[in-house]
Amino acid sequence: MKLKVLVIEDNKQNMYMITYLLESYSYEVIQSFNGIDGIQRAKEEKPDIILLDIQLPEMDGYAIASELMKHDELKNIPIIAVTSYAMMGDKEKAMEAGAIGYIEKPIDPDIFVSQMEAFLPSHLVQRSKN
Amino acid sequence: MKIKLFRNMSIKNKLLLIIIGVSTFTIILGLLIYSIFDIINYKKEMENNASLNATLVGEYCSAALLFGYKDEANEILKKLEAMPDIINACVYDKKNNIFVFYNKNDKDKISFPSLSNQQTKFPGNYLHVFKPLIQQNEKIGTIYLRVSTAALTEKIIGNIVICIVLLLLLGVPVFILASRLQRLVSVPILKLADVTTQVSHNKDYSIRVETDRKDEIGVLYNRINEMFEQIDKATYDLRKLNEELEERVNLRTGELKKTNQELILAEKAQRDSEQRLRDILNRAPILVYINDLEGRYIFVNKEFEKLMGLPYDQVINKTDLELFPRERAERNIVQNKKVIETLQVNIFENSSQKKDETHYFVDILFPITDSNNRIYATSGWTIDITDRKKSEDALKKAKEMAESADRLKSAFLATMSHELRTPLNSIIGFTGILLKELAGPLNEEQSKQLNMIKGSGQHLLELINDVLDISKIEAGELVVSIKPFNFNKSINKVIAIVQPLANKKDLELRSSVFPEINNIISDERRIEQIFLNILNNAIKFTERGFVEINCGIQNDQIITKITDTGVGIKKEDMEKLFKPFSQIDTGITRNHEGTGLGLSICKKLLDKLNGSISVQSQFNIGSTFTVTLPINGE
Repeated sequence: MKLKVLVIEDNKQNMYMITYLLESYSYEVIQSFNGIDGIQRAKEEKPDIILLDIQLPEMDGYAIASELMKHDELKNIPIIAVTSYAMMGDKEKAMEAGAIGYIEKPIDPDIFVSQMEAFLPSHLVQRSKN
Repeated sequence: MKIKLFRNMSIKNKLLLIIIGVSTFTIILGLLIYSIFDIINYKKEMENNASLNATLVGEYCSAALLFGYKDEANEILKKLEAMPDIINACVYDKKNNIFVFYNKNDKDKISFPSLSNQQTKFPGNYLHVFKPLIQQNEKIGTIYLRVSTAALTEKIIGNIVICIVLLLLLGVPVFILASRLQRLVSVPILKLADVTTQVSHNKDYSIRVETDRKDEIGVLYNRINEMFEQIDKATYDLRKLNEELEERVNLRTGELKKTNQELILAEKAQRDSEQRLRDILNRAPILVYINDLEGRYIFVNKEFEKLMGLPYDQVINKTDLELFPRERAERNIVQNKKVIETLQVNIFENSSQKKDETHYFVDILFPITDSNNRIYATSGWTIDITDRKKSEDALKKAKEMAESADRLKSAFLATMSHELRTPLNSIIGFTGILLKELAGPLNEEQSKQLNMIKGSGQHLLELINDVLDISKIEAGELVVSIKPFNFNKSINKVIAIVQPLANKKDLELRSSVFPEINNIISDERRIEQIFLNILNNAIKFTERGFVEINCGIQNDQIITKITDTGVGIKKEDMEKLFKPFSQIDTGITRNHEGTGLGLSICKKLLDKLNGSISVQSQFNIGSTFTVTLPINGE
């Protein structure tokens, strides 16, 4: 069974790359290019995983994560933050806001998916294999 | 006059006079007493003789009288001629009439006195004797004799003559004797006088009156000697005392002089000090003034005169109300009152319009107290801070500008790094995807070129990251995350990362990490970044030989040495090594990629982590970088 990944990312090329990689590894991707839309899509689609870019215009990743955590039906969805090379504290901030993991850009196609999977609870990994 | 004469006589003469006087008086008195008794006796004898003669003659005459025989009676009286002394005689009858009379010479005729009861008496030079004639207890008449006393006078004169002769005879031996005897008394007195004169004249009390006498003179001499001795001693004592006193007076005078000198000096110092203070105050480029508690000016300095345009004499003893516009005066009074009430320094700023410019001042008011800490005046400085204010404003503006520039820079950097990285992420990511052959198989040349793109992209990304790091560090925005982590594990991770590079250059990568170095409190990510950087450099600059990493613990510090056998560093370049943008010219420039920021970032990170980095190197032989880190992070 394919796992549904909501990717919130403003850069179209990055979105394409992540989508391409995830789909190559048999994930279903829901694309969202800003926070408000992302939260909306999360509510509608109930994704299994949310990949969240931190540096977004208007509403940034921390705010989105915090918002997502406020909703009972969404707060259990694992959020993995994805961001450019960050200064210290970004990781902590993201975890504080509710992310369970953190992947640094630039994305390394060799390991990106396995990096993501490393953060996932085992039942989800199990499900993706079936 | 006479007494004074006597008093001024010499003792010798005095004694002589006294002895002679007393002797003469005694002799005369003796002779006089003797003469008087002699004369009295002689007179008595004369009387008795006269009385006897009268009685005898009376006896003879009694019969004649009784019978009235005048002739017979005359005869009897005539017999009296034999008695030379009896000058006149007379016989009175019963009825007291003259019966008969007798006169020795005619020239001696007298009128016989009438009979009275008079007995014998001596009127004048004659002795009168009356004698009653008694016959059978019956008075029959009276006889009268007048006797001459010439013999008595002769007797008296004779006695006087004897006296004078005796006096003269006795006078000579008395004088001789007196002359001799007076010396017994006068000589010692004169000697005494002489000695005392000497003493008095010479003021020499050590002179003594020599004597072995035991009498009063001797006693006197001894007493005088004692007195001299006492005087001598007293004089000595007095002199000594005097000397002491003089010495003390000299000493005290000296002290007084010194004190006086000091006082004069102190006074001068005081005057100098006052003058100095006045000069300092007058030369001060600020306004200085002193007000008494009533607000009257008691001192202002030159700057005050200059700036206020008021000469000293017009300011002194005037109050603010008399000198300045009402508003300004009242402000000064209020501020002064604050100082008087609180005894605290009062600092306030104020401004005034001068021509077309606003001048700013700061006034510093403070109390002036006496030695009892009682306030008696207030003083103030007025400092023109217009220039400072201007420069402060300029500084403020400059700072604000700098701050906004800084903010702009930070924002620019953040934006730029994001903007630069986003396309790079695409380049690196898509290159990676292509190289993974997810989009289809690649030939060798394609793979080679795509790898080149990927390598350049990654290098560009590193550069951007370094620039961002150094910017953040310099902006003070770098935050470290201190937590315990396994140091050994981190080092092994870094070694694993650089191992392929070493292998590529055929370099031996040695490591000796103490297994007991486990937990360290620091920033794991930064530590890894630091060692990755140093190891990368070591491998980059070493063409053959080895790179060695060596860890040890010393005094709660982990000391890590990274040694290579590379190009080394010239001495003159050592200083530049840890400065940003200064990749050292190794003579093989451009052979080595890098920003030159790595070591400077390492140093700054280590500063943040309470660690340090140092380097030892020999050019063309190799380098050793030493990194010291505290185990407990402090």
